[in-house]
Amino acid sequence: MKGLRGGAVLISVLVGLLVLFASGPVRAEEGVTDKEVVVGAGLDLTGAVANWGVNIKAGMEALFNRVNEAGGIHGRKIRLIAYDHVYQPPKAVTNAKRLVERDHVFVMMGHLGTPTTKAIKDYVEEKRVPNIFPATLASIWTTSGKWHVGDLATYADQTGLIIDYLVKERKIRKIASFYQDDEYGLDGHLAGKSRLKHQYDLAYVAEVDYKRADIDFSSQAAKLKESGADAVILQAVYREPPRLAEQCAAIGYKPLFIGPSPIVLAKTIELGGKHVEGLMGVEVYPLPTDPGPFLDQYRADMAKYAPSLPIDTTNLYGYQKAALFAEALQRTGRSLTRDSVLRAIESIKDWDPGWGLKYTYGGDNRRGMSNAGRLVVVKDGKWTKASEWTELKEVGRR
Amino acid sequence: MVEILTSQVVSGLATGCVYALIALGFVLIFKATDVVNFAQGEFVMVSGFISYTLLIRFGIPYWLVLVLTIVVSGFMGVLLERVVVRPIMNAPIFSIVIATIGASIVLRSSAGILYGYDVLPLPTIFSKDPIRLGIVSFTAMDAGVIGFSLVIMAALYLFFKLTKTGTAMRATAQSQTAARLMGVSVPRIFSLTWAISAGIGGVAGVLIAPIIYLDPNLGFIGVKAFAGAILGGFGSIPGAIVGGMLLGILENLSGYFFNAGIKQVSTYILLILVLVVRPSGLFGAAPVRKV
Amino acid sequence: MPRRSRLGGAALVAVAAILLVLPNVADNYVIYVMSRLFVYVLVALGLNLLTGYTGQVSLGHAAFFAIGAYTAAVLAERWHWPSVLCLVGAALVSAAVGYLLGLPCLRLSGLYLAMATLGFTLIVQEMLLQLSVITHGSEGMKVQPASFLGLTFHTDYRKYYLLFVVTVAMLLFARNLVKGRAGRAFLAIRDNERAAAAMGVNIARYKTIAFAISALYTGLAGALSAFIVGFLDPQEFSFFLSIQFITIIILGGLASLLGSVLGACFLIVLPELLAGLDVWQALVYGLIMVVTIIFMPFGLSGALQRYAHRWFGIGVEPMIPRRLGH
Repeated sequence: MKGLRGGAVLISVLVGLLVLFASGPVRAEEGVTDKEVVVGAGLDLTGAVANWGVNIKAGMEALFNRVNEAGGIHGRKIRLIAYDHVYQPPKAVTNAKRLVERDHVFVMMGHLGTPTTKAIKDYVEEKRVPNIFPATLASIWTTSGKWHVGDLATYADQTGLIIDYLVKERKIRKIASFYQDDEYGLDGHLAGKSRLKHQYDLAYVAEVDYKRADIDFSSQAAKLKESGADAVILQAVYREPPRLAEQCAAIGYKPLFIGPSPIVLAKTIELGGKHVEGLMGVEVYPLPTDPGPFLDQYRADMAKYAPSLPIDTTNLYGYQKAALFAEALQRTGRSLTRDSVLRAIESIKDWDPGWGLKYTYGGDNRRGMSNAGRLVVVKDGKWTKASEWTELKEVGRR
Repeated sequence: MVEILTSQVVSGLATGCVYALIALGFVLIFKATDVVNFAQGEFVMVSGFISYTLLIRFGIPYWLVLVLTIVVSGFMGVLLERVVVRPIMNAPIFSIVIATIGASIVLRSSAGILYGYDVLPLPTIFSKDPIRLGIVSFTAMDAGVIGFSLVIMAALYLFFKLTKTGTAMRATAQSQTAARLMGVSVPRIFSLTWAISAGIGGVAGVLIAPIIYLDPNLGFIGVKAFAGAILGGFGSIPGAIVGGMLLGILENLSGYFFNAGIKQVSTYILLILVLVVRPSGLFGAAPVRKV
Repeated sequence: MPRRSRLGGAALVAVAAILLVLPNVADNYVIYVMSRLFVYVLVALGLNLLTGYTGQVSLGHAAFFAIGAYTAAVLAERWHWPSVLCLVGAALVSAAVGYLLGLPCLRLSGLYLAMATLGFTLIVQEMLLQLSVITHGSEGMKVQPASFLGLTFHTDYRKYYLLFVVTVAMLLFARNLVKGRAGRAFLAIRDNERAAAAMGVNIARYKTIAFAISALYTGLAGALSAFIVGFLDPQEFSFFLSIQFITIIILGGLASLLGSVLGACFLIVLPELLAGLDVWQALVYGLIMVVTIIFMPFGLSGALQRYAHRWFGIGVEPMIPRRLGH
């Protein structure tokens, strides 16, 4: 083929360029120098869950900026490097390699997405890079061994709380599950199923799924109505409950809707209006609008460093990860290694950053920082607390 | 049971009408210029954001926003045509398609940068409360979407049938050479086609955004509309409309009988079955094989 | 033209030498990116054979990629087949499916073919989720690294060489195919099906063969990708991936082996170069895409051909028929 021959010149030029870009600096450090600590994050910044990615990054950066301006921790500033994986596992792997091999990050923090984080799991373990507080509340991260530490209560555990509440307190036995048909939705869905069976000898009266970007739930609404469920557990995010509630109302069906933390956003109320009045959820950390010194600081930091973003559960989520990490750095002291920071994290017990919720490392079998949850309900257009903070029990998926 | 099914059909028809409008946009451009505009879905998305900005940030009344959105979208269509498509008009079709794909990426990421990826609700004058008419229950929203879409389609039909420009557009679609010989300014017709197509996308955006909420990735609805157009027959305007509506209804019905995954692919299974029997879609004419 | 072939030959040797030596001077990240590049080159070769040479538009190649990947993964996990057989198995299964898909698609052309193949992608993607008993569905599937004769390809270094060897081999095979009788038949079908039939080309046979070979390449690429990434998730094998594949061959240049390589470079290497741009990455990428195609409507290889012709008098001006399969 003529083109192949003649173009080999171009290829060699290209490859030459590649070699140039290939030979990055080779250092022996692990993301720690005298002056700084480098943190890496693989996030979705333009794809399916970009809203979370952008906000988590902003939240983390806000806290780090403030800490850095005050001189850093033990003389070191914290630098965050984030790359966009667009919720694609292969790209997440590429980005992880760049973060670890090129940017020499100290830890991977807040990695977003369940499939994407699963894809890099073996790699970070092989490279002995801690994967701390990944931005996915799937139960796998709390049970995967030394290099992974989750932060908040998992969807599975939250659903356990929901089931207990429905059956024991509300005496509801006809419960349906509305869940996203992927790993995210399945986590809570299967955990709920297991809890119903093992604890109460019950089963869902309907299991209705939907695809992530689905826009119409009229068929799901119809199926739910037919099942006669008095309560529907929503393994969804903030987009689906408003629409589902709307379409159920349109056919005259008004069950109790309740679901884990991703539905507890101000956005849900904004989108759903009166249809979501009475919607219940589980929150695993306080609302961004709650009072308290930590949240005041959060609001101030966001206003200063990310003024274009509204304060929201999504960036508070990133912010509290950063706060945990900062606390761990503080405890580790000047001599900083990956092992020592992991031990510092494990040493955290009953630590309250200033918002009433305490972090305690859960132990080797349940490597998370908080297992607390609280029921909330939409009342008069606002999320209001419906229970006190409780320790969630561990619920398996089988 | 019948009641539930009929309400499924009605709400499916509402989504179907939006698919139909978007499909119409595809087909118009295709008939006139042979180009498949992969940025059509993004037109819908951008006009959704435009109307949001006009409505919320500037507080302009709803009906005026609708008109302005259509106009601004139209301009956007012309802009795209001039900047991206016109320079490579004589290039292989595939290249033009890639240009539109690139344009769609640019539009999507621009929207993301300007508006963020948070979902925005677009207010609408149609309420979402249920209405009952005999055995059928639906919402005013559904009725509004269906009604409005039909009005637009009727208006377009009249435009093409009765006005001089409309006839000129039909002529260009049939044969550019002949149209030129008749004194039609073909480049102008192209720009107009893109303008109308984008404008229709604008209407679709305003109609669908309140239902599915605005976000930069909204443009992916274009793929479904595209499927609808193919189902009906891509070279045919009534085909695109019927195809889109059928798609919406079918999606809902299969969603009722099967789970979410099957619902999504049922339409494509049907599509393939239809194409095997009728390779040019339900209403498409067999392609003229030029020797 | 001795000057050109000497120049071309020398350049080819230089490129091969650089690629052979690369893993010893570059870090794992670069090696990994290059490995992914080879995978996409394979896909592009396959797709170009079908769409560029034979004129059959396919938006279904994400499905073949998936079929190849999952077949290899399942063969390795369930039946513990040796890796080589997993790769071969994956390629053959994919080719068979490609052949079967090609049969009903004989009647379709242009947009309808595109849509049918797109439908195929979506159906396969859904089946991956539904058949979760063997595919692990949305949980995702881990894939152990390939091994051959006791040697495990678990480091980026080794994966690179595995891919390099396979890619070069398949590139040579494609070159022979394209230069031979089949290649001429493909082009004849693309340019004018009626005339080709009149000249005695068995349209049905060559179209289905094109589908099969195309699927084989892409399936093989998928299997290799499974071994180097190590994790499979159904949602990555979407219509969006199919669109990316088509973008590669159009930007690279249709009906051009060099184009397949260049297009893959564009899709894989460019985003890495833009990675530091954060949220602006996608925007810049889209702009570059638009500008590239406007200035190089025949793709990167087409532009090369054009300048080689105009500046050095080498070869001919690129010409590709305007309408493919309409």
